[in-house]
Amino acid sequence: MRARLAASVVLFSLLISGCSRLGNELPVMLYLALVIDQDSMIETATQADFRRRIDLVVGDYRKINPNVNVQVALYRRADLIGELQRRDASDLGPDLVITDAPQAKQLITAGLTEALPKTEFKRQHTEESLWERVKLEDGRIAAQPMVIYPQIACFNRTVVKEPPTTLQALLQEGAAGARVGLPVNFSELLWTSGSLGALQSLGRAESGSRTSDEDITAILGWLTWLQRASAQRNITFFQDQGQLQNLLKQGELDWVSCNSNSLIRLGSEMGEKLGVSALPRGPAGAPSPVNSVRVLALGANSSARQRKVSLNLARFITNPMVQRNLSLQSLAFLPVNPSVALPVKSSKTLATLVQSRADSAEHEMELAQIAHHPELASIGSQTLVQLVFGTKTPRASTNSLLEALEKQP
Amino acid sequence: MSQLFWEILGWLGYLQRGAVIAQLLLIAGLSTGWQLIKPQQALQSLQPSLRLLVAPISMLLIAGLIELPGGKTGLVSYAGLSWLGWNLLTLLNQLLLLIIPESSVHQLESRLLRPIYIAVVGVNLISQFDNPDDLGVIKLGSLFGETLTINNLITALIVSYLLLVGTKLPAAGMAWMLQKLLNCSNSSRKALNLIIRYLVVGIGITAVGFHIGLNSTALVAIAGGLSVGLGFGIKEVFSNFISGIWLLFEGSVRPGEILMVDEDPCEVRKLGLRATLLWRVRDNAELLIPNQMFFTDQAISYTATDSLRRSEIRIGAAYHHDPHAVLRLLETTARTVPRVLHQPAPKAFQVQYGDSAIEYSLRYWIADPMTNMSVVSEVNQAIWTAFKREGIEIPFPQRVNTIREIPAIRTETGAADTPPGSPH
Repeated sequence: MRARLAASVVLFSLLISGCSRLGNELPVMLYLALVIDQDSMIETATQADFRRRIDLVVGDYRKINPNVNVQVALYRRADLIGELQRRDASDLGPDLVITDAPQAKQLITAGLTEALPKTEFKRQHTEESLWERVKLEDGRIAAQPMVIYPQIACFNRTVVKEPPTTLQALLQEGAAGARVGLPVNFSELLWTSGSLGALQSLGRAESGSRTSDEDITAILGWLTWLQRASAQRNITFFQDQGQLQNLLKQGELDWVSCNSNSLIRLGSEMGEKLGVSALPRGPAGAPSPVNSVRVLALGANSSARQRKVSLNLARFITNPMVQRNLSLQSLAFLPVNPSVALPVKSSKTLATLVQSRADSAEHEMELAQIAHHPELASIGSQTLVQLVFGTKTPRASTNSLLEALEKQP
Repeated sequence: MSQLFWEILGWLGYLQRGAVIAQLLLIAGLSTGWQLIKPQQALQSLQPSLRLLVAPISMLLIAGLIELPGGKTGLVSYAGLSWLGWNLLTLLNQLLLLIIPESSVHQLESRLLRPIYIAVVGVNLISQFDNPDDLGVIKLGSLFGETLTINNLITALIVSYLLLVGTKLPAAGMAWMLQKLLNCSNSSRKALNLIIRYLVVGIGITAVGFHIGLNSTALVAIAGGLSVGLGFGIKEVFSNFISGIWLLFEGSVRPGEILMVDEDPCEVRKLGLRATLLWRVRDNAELLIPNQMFFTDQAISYTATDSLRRSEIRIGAAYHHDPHAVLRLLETTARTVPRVLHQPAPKAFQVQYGDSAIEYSLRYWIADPMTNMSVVSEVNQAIWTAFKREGIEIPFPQRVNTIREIPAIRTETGAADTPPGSPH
């Protein structure tokens, strides 16, 4: 009995040490953790959708490196850190993590991912403003930006024949019977502050500069417009864009602000009825859409070989040709590589996405200051809820916002 | 299906990592070392329950020590915890033995606790390197036009298993409550228990069917398949199943009933889906009889309307005893036997003038039909004692032969034409 057990252990040891020795000849397996959209559940359809997106990247990479295999595991955003901590305890964490920029920073702070080696990356392959989103205070880069998901307007073409290009037109569309949905989430509603001229004032408040009367008037004007809009019969505020998109899909709403990330699923459900446009401008000019970024972070548990291939893949995805193909094949996201020119005339959706990126670029500095602070987003959302439900006046809401902005580090 | 296969195969890729291999080797080494060293002998002084905890706790401690300087031993800790949990189940088993019969504990442990534990440990193990939520939605194929995922399949299997295995105790509890509320008999309680179980299992299996995509079209398809199957292969199975349900509702063959099978009283122990389990007291045998036998054949029951059984003893007394005195003595004697009921009262009859004795029949009633043989024995002993005391003779068989004439010696010549005993 003892001899048999000892023999089994020796055999087992030889087997797995043999496997590791053969590593250089065997295919490389990369483990990829992918965060799904905030409003999605892990379902068969979601899985198919996200795996298709990953295939867009990995498929091309495998044409050059056929010995590389990628195993994808989907996670809900709220569960990711806990689950990766569990995996990390056994050194079984993923080699790559695809998530949004704020969470990439949380992951590296928690020791679940590692910083990008600065010297190895071609910085010119990624928009400079995007590096700022993934840069930590100590200068480390948390992840490689992959694609941009612009914030746009989605609507039901059978009801909204011509998408409103201004906020005034949006109110008129509502008055004419179209059911308009807006999010009460601070970051997702911030686009209206650009159209109504309050974003610069918010930025000044955040930067610690003394706010002038004009700034207060601008913020007050923005919040007053929001409260008046909520009083309109056909304009309703909902928790977030995820809810808006579901209601649009179900035919409960006709015009909503949405994220291009959802276009593939909305398109498959709504078909030809789905229309997209840039968010409406306002009296102060272009809107300030908050475009989210998908980033690729390097897991902390990779073997040397897995890390080498991961870095290679991370470099590969910013390649201009790959970035262009990603955008053209998906028609849902934009490249992070500034040198990629998209044929906007070939697709109205692409033109809309590019327009949104341009609108966002107009307010780049202020958005970078305000749009990506989780604490500010939380306080701002609470203030907006009270405002649109009429329990707080625009004046009181302005004061709350200014107080929250001034507290920002 | 292929996606699941590649997913599982892909897990082998973790062997590219040194720390993973080291953990696996440590787990294998520690568990094998424990078997090889056999430290149980050194732990004789410890209580058996504590001895069970030594190995897994040692594994956890070793994992903790390696983690102190920054090593990663999550898998080792997990193996230690799983081992500890497994051994704790053994301790739980010993505790349950104090309050539940051994057979029930064994069933509970082997059919419910251990399988659930293995499933939980397995799913948790997968979550150490993959996301079970994501794996669960992998499409395995289509069933009745609906997508069948791993989650659907596993849920269906677990729910069906729990329905079949785990409803025994709740159904028994509910039947007990109903018995108290309705004041019904024990056999009715057992029948209620079965009916509740069949109902819960039936509804549950239907719900599971709908969960995995069963719909009206699928039902028609299944019904079509069943009709063919019923006509050929599973006719007997279905017949037994329906007979069992019918008998249960009819109440003639319920657990606790006493039936005569091949002239032996047998108690119904269990009415199963296919067969009924009966206990024969004569030789403590358990008989498995297909339900349809009771449905189609004649059966004698001692418990259909009441559980009394009338028994009879036949005895002869010599001709010279007064039949009135014998009848009185038999009835009085029967009353002295404790398990003979006084009401209906024992009754003796003079039934026949036999060759050697006058034959009497003593008929009496007993409460438990299964004890007939032992009561017969007691009554017979009491009669023998009473007859001896009263001087009543139980005669041996007697035959009086009268020789009317001695036959002549037969000769060879006269033998052919002279009948024996005839005058010459």
